[in-house]
Amino acid sequence: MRLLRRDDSGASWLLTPGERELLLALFSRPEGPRSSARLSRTSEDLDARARSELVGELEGHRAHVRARLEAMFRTMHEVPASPVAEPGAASPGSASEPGWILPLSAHDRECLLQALNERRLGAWEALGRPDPPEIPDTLSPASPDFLDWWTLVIASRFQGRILSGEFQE
Amino acid sequence: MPGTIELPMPEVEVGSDPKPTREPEYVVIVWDDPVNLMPYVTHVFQQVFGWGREKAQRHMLEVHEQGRSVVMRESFEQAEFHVHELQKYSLNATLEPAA
Repeated sequence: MRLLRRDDSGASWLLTPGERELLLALFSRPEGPRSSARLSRTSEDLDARARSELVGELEGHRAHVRARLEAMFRTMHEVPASPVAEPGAASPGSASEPGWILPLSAHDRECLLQALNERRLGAWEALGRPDPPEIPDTLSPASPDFLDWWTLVIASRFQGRILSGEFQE
Repeated sequence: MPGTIELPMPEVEVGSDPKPTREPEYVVIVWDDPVNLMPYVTHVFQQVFGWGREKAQRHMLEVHEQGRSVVMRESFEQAEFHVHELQKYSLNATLEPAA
């Protein structure tokens, strides 16, 4: 996953065909369990009064994020390999290899980061909240936990790549 | 008593409070967890609060090292809004009445 262009309106990322498959596979998996949202830890009264509003808002927001993800994936378009730099392409590079371009507005970038984190947390919950969340040395592909560890690792890599590409270069 | 002046007693309405009422304050706390990545938490603080990188990292490290960080002290409505925004990013955030 490589940053092709970034400006005030957003950014464009180049995904290899394999990365695109991974991203789509990640979001085609069922969502993992979710811990219940709380508004307050110390005030039961406050928590009870305002929690339903919080839960409703989070559900509405997740529906919005899902809709944005579907739109993002629809706008992803394939580019053939080209030895010529894309016109207007800025550092760090241009699309000179085959792949898929994922345009991300600032809002869509935040939606994607949130969705990736939801996947990470869902997998972590399904794994029984391991602390630290490190893959056991003995994990085999036949393990029932394998796909949850896969989700945790792959979602973390996409998340880390977006953050380091857009904000730390 | 000579030399003394008797001052009229002011009429005080029972139940009135001459002090201006202050809206109760709340703190927004972000709690540590083993799963959210440190650069992600820094990014969320920057997005939700509009902080610079240095301040966001300072609070992220406070969460990581001390188990929690008080990130805001404000009215209930504002604190509730910020907790909602932080939880949209799946951060472990709550609001508590300020001590």
